[in-house]
Amino acid sequence: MSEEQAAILRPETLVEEFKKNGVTHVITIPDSETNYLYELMMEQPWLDIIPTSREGETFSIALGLSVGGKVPVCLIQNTGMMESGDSIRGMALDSGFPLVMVVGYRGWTRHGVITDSAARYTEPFLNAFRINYYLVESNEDGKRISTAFEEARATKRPVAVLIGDEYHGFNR
Amino acid sequence: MISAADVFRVFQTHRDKAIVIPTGTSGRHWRDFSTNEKRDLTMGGAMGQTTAAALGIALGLPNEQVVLFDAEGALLMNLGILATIAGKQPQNFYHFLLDNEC
Repeated sequence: MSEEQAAILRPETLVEEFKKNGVTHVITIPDSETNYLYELMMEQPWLDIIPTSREGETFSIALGLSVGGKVPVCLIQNTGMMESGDSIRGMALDSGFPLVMVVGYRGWTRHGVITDSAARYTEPFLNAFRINYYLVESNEDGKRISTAFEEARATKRPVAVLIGDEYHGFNR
Repeated sequence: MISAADVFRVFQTHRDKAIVIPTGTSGRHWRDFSTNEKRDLTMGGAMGQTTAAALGIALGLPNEQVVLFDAEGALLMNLGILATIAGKQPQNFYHFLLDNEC
């Protein structure tokens, strides 16, 4: 793999990590920024995709699936995560089940100044809910996704994976 | 208008082994009629989210009958869930909507 390839996060990496960790369902909101990831997930025979209309639903559906013994993942953007505060509280945290939430980190940049308030409030929001998180920016960070799954299983709590490379390769 | 109690009374005779999820003010009366409380579930406390949680159970347990007694105010808070349910079309999910006229 070239240095340039390693520097971006391939959607395939995300899907491979899901498979490795026994994910059965991805509950998500399809959007134009992540259409390639969505199409890739739809092609996987072992994975059931549940498209929703609002991010708060994803945590509630995940709770129900967990009751049924499935392994759900919530795949949303940071803006929707903030809109989902009451669902995260009442469904994910209060119910106490392992849940990895993969969150697109809109507005985040390692270089320069963050100007998007969506990015500015993302980590403070997670800290307020005492939800631990792992930043994933490139393929080299892919193993951190498995770390998040291990932590969620051990603590029976939600753990977030912040995708800091939303606009490279997820949209084709 | 038929009362929630009458709905529950009639439903109970047809319940068999269905998992029942009541919500809202009317749903509280389900416990007066249920004869199998081990298969009754209450789903967390997030506003308007019981419908989505019940859908998740139906999708997670496709061999079980899942019955939701929903409340109109709760459903109004998250009407988009109807599109999600329509998209997945779970054949084992029975969604009753109770209107307490609030």
